[in-house]
Amino acid sequence: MPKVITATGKALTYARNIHQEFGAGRTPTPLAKITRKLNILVDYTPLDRELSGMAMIKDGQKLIWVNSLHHPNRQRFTLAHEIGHHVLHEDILQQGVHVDKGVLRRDTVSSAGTEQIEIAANAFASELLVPQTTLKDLIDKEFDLDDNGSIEKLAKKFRISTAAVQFRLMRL
Amino acid sequence: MGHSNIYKHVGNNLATRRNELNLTQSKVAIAAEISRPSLANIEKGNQTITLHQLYKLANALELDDARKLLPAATSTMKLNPTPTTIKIKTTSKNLNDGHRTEVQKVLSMLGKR
Repeated sequence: MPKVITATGKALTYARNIHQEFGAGRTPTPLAKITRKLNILVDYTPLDRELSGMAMIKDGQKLIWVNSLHHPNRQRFTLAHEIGHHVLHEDILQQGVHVDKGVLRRDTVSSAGTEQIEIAANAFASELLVPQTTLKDLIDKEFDLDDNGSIEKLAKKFRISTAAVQFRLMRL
Repeated sequence: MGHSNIYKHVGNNLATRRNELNLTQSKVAIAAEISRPSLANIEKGNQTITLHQLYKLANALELDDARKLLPAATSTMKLNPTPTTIKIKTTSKNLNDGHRTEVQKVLSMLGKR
């Protein structure tokens, strides 16, 4: 496995493969099962509201912390984002703890350079939570994106925030 | 996070005490109502000892206090050193001191689960 993956396309491929292998195409994505299969220990702990999560590899053990004070849907995105770091950025997590502030903030999403790994982790997370094929299917059959309620319905279906749905739809 | 050291420690205490009394594993195992292979594994720290087994073994080894077989709390901490030297990295530039302290606090819980 390459050491640090920053290419969005590759991040999406990793997410799809993991969803297929461990998620069995289920909606909402069974994140607990996926972390178990990937041998990642997850801890939900209260953190400052500005911090969303952390990831680290300590003595070979993969670890994730999720801010338990955030809304459960936001916690799911954080968890998926941290899983992304473990899958894509193992080398970085070996060097110390990686702390993530609000992962879906616009400045994180749009800025470049050092934040390439965050962009990759976000792409991974959004694909893991809302796989392309599942979303396309839904939009073809049930959802009209011009309908005002559709974002909320999608959020409910995938158990993610409406912000995460909007982020996902940006690369439809 | 690995707690196997605790069991090695307890196993070691059991074996030391048994040798002090010049007892065989078989004799102690019978008195504590466990099998001899189980006792052998417990002494090596390869089997997780249960609380009731601990009391029965303390009894079989003529100890008035089962706690004598346990490692001291402070030595457990030493066996699982708290990671104080972990580097904190973030892609966001402005991780303030309060956040750093909070992260350290969470990390310091690592050895104590």
